[in-house]
Amino acid sequence: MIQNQSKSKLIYLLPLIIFIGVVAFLFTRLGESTQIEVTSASDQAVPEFSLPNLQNPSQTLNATALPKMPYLLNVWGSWCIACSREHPLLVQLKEQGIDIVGVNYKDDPEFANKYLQDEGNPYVLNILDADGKLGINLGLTGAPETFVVDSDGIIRQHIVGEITEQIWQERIEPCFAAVKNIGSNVSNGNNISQVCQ
Amino acid sequence: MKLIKFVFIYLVLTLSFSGFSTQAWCMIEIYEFDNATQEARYYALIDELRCPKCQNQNLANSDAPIAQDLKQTTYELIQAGSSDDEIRQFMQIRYGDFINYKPPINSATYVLWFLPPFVLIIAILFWVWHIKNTRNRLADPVNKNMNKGDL
Repeated sequence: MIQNQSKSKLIYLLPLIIFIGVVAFLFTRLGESTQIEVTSASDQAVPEFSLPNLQNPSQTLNATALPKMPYLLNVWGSWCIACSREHPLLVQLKEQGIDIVGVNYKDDPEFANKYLQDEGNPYVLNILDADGKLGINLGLTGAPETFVVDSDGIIRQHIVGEITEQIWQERIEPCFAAVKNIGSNVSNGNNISQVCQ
Repeated sequence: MKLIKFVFIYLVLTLSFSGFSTQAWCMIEIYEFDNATQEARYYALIDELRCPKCQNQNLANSDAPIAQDLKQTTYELIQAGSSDDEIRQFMQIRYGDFINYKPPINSATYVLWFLPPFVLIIAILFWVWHIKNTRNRLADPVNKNMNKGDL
């Protein structure tokens, strides 16, 4: 009888225990980012395209024009404020010898070329994506976005938003270095997805 | 005064008809469909698909540029004869499961799909058990005596 009573008392404690569990769970999430970044392009090939060259619109570019070594693919527009904030860093990276391919996204070619003249041109090549179709195929959510592409043309990292010195050092540079090494050391392949998160 | 009014009206009219204003400000998409089924499918899809840029809006409710583009893409795919599943797949390949407010059932979404019905079943079982238990207790002679005594 007494045992029965203590059992039923325990059952009334159950909601409180569950509540404490929920509170503990929510507590661990405090201060964490609630922003969900859609970066599904990773580990897929750069989508096929056939688009004009920004600097020379009569020339049609496709995958064969892309660098055969690891490079950064940077989506930008002269209208995009965050792009102009990250631009000096891109120029700096170019000076370090990193190939950057630009995707000029939903821009006016005239404004875009003027922008490159004024701000410096960090790109080895600029694909003119006037209607944003390449952007959609890249899983783009907006400009700027930056992709690390390996020598086989596979996207290894997808950075949403502006890149800063800190993001470069903490996220992109380790990934880029790992992607560069893949050719000389095949066993590194598994590490890439870890390094390139 | 009259002249100023005239100039103002003239300016408003020319601005609103010029290509610049329609390109820059005209955010209302007008799509023409071959039939009502296509139109219904379009609205069902943009209602179900989520804007990848915004955290909690579907394509239909979002004015983000990427949402406009994805609506345009949905329209074009419907016009090109793609089925609803093909369009969902097109979006899923590019934007992952996040793009769909109706995520597919797979190992990553089992908890999402099956936890709520599981909790409901547990709650119903608990409720049934509780009712049975109270009845049993009432049927119990000791309890009956206690009740009598109480009364």
